[in-house]
Amino acid sequence: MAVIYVENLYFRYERGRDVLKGINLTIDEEMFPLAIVGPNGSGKTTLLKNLLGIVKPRKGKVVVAGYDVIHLSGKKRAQVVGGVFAHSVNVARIPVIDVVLSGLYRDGSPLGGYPDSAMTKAEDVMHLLEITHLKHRLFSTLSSGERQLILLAMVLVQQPLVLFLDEPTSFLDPYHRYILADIFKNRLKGHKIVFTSHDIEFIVATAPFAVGIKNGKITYAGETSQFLQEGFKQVFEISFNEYVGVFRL
Amino acid sequence: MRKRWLLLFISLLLVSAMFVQVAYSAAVVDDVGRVVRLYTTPKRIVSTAPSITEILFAIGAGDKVVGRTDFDNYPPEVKNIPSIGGFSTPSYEKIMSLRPDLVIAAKSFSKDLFEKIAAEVPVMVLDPHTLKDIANDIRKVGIITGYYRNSQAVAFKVESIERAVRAFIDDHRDKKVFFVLWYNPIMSVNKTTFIGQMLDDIKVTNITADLSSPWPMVNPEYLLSKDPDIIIMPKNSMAYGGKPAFLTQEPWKDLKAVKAGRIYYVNDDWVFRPGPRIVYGLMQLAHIVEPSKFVGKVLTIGLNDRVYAKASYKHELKDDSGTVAVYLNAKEGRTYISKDGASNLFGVEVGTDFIVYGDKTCKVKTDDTGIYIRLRDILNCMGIKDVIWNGDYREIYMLLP
Amino acid sequence: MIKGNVKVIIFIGGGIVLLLFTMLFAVSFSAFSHDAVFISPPESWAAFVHLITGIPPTSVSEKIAIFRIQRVLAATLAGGLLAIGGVLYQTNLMNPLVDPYLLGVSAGASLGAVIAYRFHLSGPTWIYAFIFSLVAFSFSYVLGKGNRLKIVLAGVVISSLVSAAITLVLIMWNDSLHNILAWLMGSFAMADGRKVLLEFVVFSLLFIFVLINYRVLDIMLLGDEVAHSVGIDIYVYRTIFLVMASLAAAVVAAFFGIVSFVGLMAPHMARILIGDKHFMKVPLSVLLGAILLVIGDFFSRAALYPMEIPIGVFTSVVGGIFFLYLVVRGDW
Repeated sequence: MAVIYVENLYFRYERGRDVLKGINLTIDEEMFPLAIVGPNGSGKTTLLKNLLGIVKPRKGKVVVAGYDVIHLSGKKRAQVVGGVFAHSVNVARIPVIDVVLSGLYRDGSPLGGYPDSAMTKAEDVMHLLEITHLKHRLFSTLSSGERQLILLAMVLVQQPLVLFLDEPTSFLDPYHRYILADIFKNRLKGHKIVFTSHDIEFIVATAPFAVGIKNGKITYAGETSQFLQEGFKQVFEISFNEYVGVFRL
Repeated sequence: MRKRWLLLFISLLLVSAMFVQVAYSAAVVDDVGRVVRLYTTPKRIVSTAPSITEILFAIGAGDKVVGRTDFDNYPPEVKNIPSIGGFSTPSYEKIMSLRPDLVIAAKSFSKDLFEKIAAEVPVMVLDPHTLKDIANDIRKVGIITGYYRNSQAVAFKVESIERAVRAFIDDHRDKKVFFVLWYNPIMSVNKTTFIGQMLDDIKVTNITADLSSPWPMVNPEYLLSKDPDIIIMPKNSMAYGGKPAFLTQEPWKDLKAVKAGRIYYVNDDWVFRPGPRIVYGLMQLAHIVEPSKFVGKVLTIGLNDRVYAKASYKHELKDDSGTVAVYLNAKEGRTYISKDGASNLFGVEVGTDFIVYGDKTCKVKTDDTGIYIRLRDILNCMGIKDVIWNGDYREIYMLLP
Repeated sequence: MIKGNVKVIIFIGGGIVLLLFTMLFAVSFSAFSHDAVFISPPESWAAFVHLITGIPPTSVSEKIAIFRIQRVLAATLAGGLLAIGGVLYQTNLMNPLVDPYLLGVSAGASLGAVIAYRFHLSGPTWIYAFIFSLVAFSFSYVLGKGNRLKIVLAGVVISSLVSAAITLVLIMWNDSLHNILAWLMGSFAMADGRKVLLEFVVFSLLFIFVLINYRVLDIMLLGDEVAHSVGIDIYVYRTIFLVMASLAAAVVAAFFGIVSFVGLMAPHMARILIGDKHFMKVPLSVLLGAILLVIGDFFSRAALYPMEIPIGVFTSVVGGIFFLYLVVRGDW
């Protein structure tokens, strides 16, 4: 059974033109980590929002891990999908540990707060991502790289079946980009990760599978190595070789 | 030969003299310091406030009024005059379409509108602060409209009634009075408003006289701590439906004035409008504190009404301007009025030695001629105890219910 | 934010003490001149007991005490209501500079009052103010559905239209405007036991609801995507919170006129002092709002006793200074 199955998805914001024009996608068990690659405005983030159920499509079906995400109630949905949108997060003056614990919102009770097991989980995740030292800092005082890691921690604590990240490496300094790549490659075995990006190096390093998207349509779905041959040029208008040629590191 | 030339010259002079027009010129300084000058008597006057309309009608210039505001309601004839709109936002087009040759405005008139109109038509601005100012305004209107003599009479009435009340009324400063302008929030008046001045004229203690705002919001606990003896309110705006409901609530219901029923109403138009009827308001207020003395309305004695006095005066009071106001004691004084005068002034039917007032028939004393009736008898029949004469016996001031 | 718990105890504990002290002070005095009556604390307590138990007062000073107690309680609860409304608005619209009157609540209340005065409608003025207030809010909410920015714009649109309607009614007025203007500028002078009771009921329900859902608010503050991701039905919660916040603000506006800035300042000050965690921010905002209005009400009646100054004057001045401070400090 496909982990992600999208059929004939059309989506638009508020009576504009369609941003997603008939998306069809089937992602199987082994196709993770998966990168959704495309230029700005191609609909990557919008696709992600549809997959998470944040927005409702005009037409079409979205099924994740067998569940119809659009029609799931909140707490059930949180068990299936979880997302990190580090760019549209609001910098609240809340301690980091509380942000991380939020991932387990569905397990908490009113006024009672979180169970002790939640705290243990949170601490374990923070240890895994090497951010324990940020535990009592205020979320608003963190750098964008640190925020990214905190939000990742939150979604890991949540433990949905599939994790989605939107442009995780944009605005990250080299150090945090390095850390994130290391985390994706080595420390998240067993999690199914999907992220949107146009950070080619990062994609090559961390995602063996890729989906290409341009102008609201899927142009490619399959192995990343294959994508770099033809799919790259389709999406970015220059060939991978030309790109590498300029940015030879 | 020379005589003829002289004659011709003189006759030419006389003839040309007939053609010399005596130029009409009326100039007055209005209440904002502007000099308003007209060269002909105005025939199309626009009034922008109800008080101004009343002044114009009172001095006899009513037929010259071609425009008034929506809120003008007195005298009743004003409803036939076209309206120019509201109080502070009348219509420029409407005003100008009436082709006025004089516009009289109150100070609250919109400044921009005023500038626009003043560029084309003479505008006089009135802004009285005291009853004396109102009297002077009446005179100014009289000067500028060519009705000066009438305006003097009206102005004089305003001034002398105020003086008479001040002179006659006893000291009531032991009585604390609260004027209820509004009840939610509680609002009253201070001494700078017309009402405040009139409360001072009737020599009561207005418990909000010294507050800094003309229409101050009042702390309810102040009412409890001062516990006024008398509560006065304007009838239309506060008691349009009968006894106001708020009197049954806190803090009112605990006040001695409410418990004793000492709640009095005055006519809104009389106490708020800076026009000739302001003195009716004053009389109404005076009646509240001294109901026996100030009972009714003002009567003006016409020239044919013939009055003479063979009186012995109980009191003769002079106020500071030297005007004498005479107070006739109920029991003494022999003032007689002609039978015609009696029926004209008091609306009574007169017989040989009796009069009929409403459903009462009273015997009256006449003098030797049989034409004159004793004034006191008429007043007793009508249930009026006291009157005030003005100095030259032209007017009797008394309030009829 | 080290040792946060100590800071919380100091602020909230201190806040409670300060509030109680301010309330007592406000009940004891009405002015600094000999004109006004001084009510000693034992007398205040006796009056309070009588108020609760319904025994009618005996002396004049007891009646005055009851008046003051009603005012002070009304101001306290109003401060709390506006503060909670402010927190809910600021969190749900993710904008620390919004006030719970934003979505037409104050404009609607004003229109209701103006119409009630103009047409001499029977019954208490506050009923009309309250109804119009909620209607205006509903229009704003429906117009701006779906989008946080859109709803703010919708609020501006509705408020402008309603203000235009108010102006229209006012210029066609033939009595003096003083009474309606006084109402509009806000005052606790007309507080009575019934209003205080209603405020208390609304406040308690709201306060409990907000505290129960403090985690939802914390998460919603982080953003729609985060909240959605962890399983919160953001649209449902946002509607509930905004409706409740508007209800709270409408109650205050309908009973006492337009008391500006408190709904903006109290949550903001609390935020600066204690951070964004709602479990602490909400109680502290409530305390700050209450203290602010009790002081404001005292100022309104004491500055020019026995003349009342509309409380809007005080809150606007304090609000202005507060904003100046924010601008200078550079951080909000």
